[in-house]
Amino acid sequence: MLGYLAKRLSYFAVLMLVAAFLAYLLAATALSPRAYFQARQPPPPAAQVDAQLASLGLDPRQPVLVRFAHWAGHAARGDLGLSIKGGSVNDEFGRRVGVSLRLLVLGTLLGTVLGVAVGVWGAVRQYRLSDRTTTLLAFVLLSTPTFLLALLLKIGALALNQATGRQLISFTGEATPDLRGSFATVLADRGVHLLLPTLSIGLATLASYSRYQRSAMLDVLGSDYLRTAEAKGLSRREVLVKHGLRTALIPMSTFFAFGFLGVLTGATFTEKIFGWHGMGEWFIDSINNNDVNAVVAVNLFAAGTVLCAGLLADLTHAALDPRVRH
Amino acid sequence: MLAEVADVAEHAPVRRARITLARFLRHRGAMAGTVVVALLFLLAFAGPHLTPWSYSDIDYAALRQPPSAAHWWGTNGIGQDIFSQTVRGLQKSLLIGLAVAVSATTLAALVGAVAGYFGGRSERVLLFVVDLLLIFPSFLIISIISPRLRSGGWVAFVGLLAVFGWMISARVVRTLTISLKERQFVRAAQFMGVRPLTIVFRHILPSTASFLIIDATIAVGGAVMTETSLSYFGFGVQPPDVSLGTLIADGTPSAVTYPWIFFFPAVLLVVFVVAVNLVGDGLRDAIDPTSGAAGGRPLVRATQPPGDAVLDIRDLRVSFGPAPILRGVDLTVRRGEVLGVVGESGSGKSMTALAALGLLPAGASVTGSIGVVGEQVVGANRRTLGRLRGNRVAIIFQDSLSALTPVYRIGDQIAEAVRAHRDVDRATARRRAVELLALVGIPDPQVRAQAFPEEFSGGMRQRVMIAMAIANDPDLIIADEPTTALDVTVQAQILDVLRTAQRETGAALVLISHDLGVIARMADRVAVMYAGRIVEHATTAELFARPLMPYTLGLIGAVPRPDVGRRQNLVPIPGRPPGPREHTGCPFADRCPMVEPACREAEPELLGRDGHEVACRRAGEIAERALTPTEVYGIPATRPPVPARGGEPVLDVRGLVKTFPRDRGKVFKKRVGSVHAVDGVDLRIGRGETLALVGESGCGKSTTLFEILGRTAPRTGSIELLGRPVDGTWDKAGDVQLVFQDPHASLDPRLPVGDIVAEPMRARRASAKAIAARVPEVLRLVGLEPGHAGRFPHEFSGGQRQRIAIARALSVEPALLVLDEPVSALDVSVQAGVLNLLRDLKERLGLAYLFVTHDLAVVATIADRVSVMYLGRIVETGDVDAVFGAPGHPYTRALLSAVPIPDPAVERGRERILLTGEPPGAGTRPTGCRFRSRCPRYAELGRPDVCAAQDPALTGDARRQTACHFATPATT
Ligand code: SF4
Ligand code: SF4
Repeated sequence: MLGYLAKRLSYFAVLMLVAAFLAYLLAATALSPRAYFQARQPPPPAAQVDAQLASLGLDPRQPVLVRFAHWAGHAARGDLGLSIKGGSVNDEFGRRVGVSLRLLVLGTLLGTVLGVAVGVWGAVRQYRLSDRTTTLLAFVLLSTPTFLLALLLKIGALALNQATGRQLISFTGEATPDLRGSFATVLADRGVHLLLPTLSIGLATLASYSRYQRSAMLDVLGSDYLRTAEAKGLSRREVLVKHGLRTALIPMSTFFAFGFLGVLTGATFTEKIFGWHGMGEWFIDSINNNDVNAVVAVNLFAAGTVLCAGLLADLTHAALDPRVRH
Repeated sequence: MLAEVADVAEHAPVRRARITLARFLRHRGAMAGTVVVALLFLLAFAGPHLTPWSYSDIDYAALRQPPSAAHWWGTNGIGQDIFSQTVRGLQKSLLIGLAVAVSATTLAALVGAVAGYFGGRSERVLLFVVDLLLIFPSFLIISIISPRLRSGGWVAFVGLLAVFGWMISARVVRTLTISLKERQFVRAAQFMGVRPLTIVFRHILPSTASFLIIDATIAVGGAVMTETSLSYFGFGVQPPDVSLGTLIADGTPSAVTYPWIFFFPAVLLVVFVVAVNLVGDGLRDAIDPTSGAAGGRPLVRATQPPGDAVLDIRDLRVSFGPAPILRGVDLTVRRGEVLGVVGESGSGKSMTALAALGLLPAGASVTGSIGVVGEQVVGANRRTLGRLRGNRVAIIFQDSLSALTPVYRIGDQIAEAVRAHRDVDRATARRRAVELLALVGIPDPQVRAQAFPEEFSGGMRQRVMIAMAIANDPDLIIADEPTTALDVTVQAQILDVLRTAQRETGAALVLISHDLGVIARMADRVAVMYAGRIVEHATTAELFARPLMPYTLGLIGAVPRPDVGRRQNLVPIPGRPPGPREHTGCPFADRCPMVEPACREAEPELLGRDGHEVACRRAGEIAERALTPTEVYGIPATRPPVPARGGEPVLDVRGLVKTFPRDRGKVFKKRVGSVHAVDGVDLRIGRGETLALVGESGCGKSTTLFEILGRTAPRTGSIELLGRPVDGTWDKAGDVQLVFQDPHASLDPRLPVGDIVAEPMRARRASAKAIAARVPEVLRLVGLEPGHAGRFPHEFSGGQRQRIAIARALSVEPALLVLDEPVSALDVSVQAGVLNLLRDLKERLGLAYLFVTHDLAVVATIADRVSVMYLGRIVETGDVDAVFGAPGHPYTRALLSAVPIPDPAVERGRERILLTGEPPGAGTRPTGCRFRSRCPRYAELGRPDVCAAQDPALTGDARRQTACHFATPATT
């Protein structure tokens, strides 16, 4: 088991290195930081722009590999460079990472747990009204892009607030600015702010998980070993949970890694739409600003979280399937 | 679970495509989805002609107007018509979605199939790219690149989306391809010499079509969603052009104040994607035969009180929708008794077994009565069933890895059965599990209890199933084909254990088997099933001595018997069992040689005379004239002996050795030595001669066969065909062809029979004219009609399919036909026909056969010579008469004695040599005699040293050679 983990970790490390390299290459060649400076009023002289670019490590006269080596040298020491506005990417990263993680973790938890539950329920009640209803709902959710779902939630909340005449659901930012009060008030405020963003990324995950879990469970429900378990005289619950769900969860652990991608992508929209200053928002803004170093940093963040999800999936798999440990 | 139903349904000559279409049309969601998609396409392309406004027109007089007659869906902030804008955006989104889906799916299919088929580097690169893309979300990449592509327009955008959208599907195609590669029809094509790329395009890609179609459908929705998402952020379609995404983005700020600007495009987007997904879902359901469209509520009603025998089934009727599977079954089993149930597949045997435990699939209508120790099973609630199952009545399924939960240890699964009915703690239950394992003969039970099911061999798993069944001293054990797919030696052991278990517990046993030999050995009484009813029922001795129904006579006459041999003329029952339907006459009438018009008028009832019940109008006549199977079926009782032709060798194998690297470790593969799968084998087959190669699974017979078919010079030893060493090239004169075991798997279901038969000729670049002339010829040769060339494999029965496979092999006039277990997947009634055909072909065409099998009875009927293989070596070889008449090697003797003979008088009086243990894995290469660990003679002689010290060589005369230091002297 330890050997297996070590192997996975080293594979992940290789992936991460290649990802960092490609991310840099892509960002450095596809973005044009020069445009950012030239768009200033009044346009600065070319020499000055060059100097500024060079100070950011983005001197276009140098080959991109040299620029990468320069960046990698700093990155290895934990320095992700300067953003195009001159600030430290590290500082910005630090400010934003918590914001995003909060959304990602909550959204994933919500989606996974409820998705599995709904999927199993649907499989057991296959073709009944409840199954058909959840299926249809899942399809509608799956067919709504996250940005649209977020918008709809926002519009709904806005309408609700207007109708009741009170700020029932706050949805801009992560907290009400300058709110003073007890710890509980602050916590409740943050909770309310979390509601819509978490929902908008959690619901999509929930929908897709429920579909996959349903079909995984249906496969297992038709299996011979479930019939054997029934023939032993086990109760329905034991058959379904101990023999059914346990094995139906195994393929889901692989899907968990894929599913996390969706959460991550969804979070980008959610942050932008609800005004959360997280990594996703930063990403969109950085592209628009042609901010190479920041874009690379966000890509690294994305790669890192997906790899963590992958590792978690591996561990879950090993926990569910003792044959892997064996 | 529905295997039997599916098997019957499969016989129905209805095209699969038509069934799929019908299922799709019945799928309400899918139909709704299709209609919506069609309407939206219509709207997208006809819409612009419906209004005078073009999407870019500006109506300065109407800013932010709500829907009106002039502007149906209102206008936006600069006075553009929302309807024409939305329609234009829809058009754009649909086009992009379609283009992306088609290109991404094509790419995925090609890359996935090639990577999966060829493996190696291409596969590793694919997997790495997919992983890389996983940690590097494509959305991010596209966002970065897309703004730079503005000049390329939307074609470049489509390309970008496709380039980043194919990987996950490619990975699925790869997985599918890898499993297809193992499918027999693909391997058959490989052995016929079809080129790899042709195989990919002819066999692999069409087989993944259903997945690809579904995938492409869903990908349309996915691409539209991605496109709109990107456009929302300005990374997609660029102004002045519009797409649903840009429209939604434009409408967002004023969504509450001027909702029409936002909602029309948003709703259209969601509706479209939902519809597409529904279509994809419907396709999946329609293609997947296991997805059940639930019909009406099934009727489950006990119509009689339960009797008080251990098992008392009365007038049991089971149906799925309109298809009746059981049509009135009556059975009674008393304490301590063994009832055998026989019949062809699809006769309803297994359904009866499942019904007895209340394990029928949901959707089954059940009426009648099933009493188990006096309790009613039909319509019983879960608690009652839970109390009975595993406690009073237990079931043993046909071995398959899947019958045990893969993630729990063997011991725990047995302990669970104990704890389900007894109030004992975990430790006690575990101890009991170990005891039970010891009882069913698992060596080292304490340690083996810790193993997972996949670590056990088939025979061991079957012992586990028996242990589980007897855990609570049941009153009734039902064994459903418990030894099918096991080696004869292991079968003999399992039957022995089953017998012991039944005696120990005093339970009644219902033994379901298609093998009359097994029934003759085990059963006290036998019930013969046909088309969902019992058609004959008697004590075992009576039934085998005086069968009265033509069907039973056919079944008995079809079984090859090692004690009769080549003279035996096997009785083939013509036709195939009817599908699940009601019958107005005798259901056997279409296949019965004694049918008379009255038979078709009313279904004969099961009537008894002295405890011998039979459902046949002419049973009296059969009894009176004491008709034998061959008489009833009108064929000669024996075949005239055909002298073996011998002559110059067609195949000459000398000293063949084949080793495989042995790996250890699941994750880190390390080579820790080699496995000698074949270890010095000699084989010689003369023209017109049949050599049978027999042995248990894992003895190396398949490896030998694939070495010969591989046609490359072996590392060690030599293979000569018609006197020429093989060197990897095709030689018309020395061609070898192969017939696989399972005709369901070895014929590509998507090709018409004519194409299948012609495939080896095509691989050898035969002209179209030659093919057109040859195909009807070979079809006639194997007893089919030239007109069959245009039909598809699924329209044929198992026996006919095997004939197609034989025709395919014969199309290139091979010198040698290799037959790999050609009849073991067939029902015995069908098997007889194929064996007869093979014998006829050999006589007429002077073919040479290499017949690989584990079934010694078949060998006795068809082979001239036999070679018995054990652990990579030939241990005995010679003329069949000499070897089977008086086997010299202890292993041959044991194999022969393990073959059950369908004659209780012979079967029960026979001396039986039970081999202990299982065939050792191919990895072991013991010193001295390899058979030592299981040799009864070695044990009997007090373990003589010479067996351990010296590897016995094959010695003997021309008629027989034996590799044993203590070979029994030939008595013939
Ligand atoms: S009833 Fe007629 S058709 Fe049926 S088995 Fe008897 S003789 Fe044959
Ligand atoms: S040589 Fe010895 S161990 Fe081998 S088969 Fe003969 S008697 Fe048995």
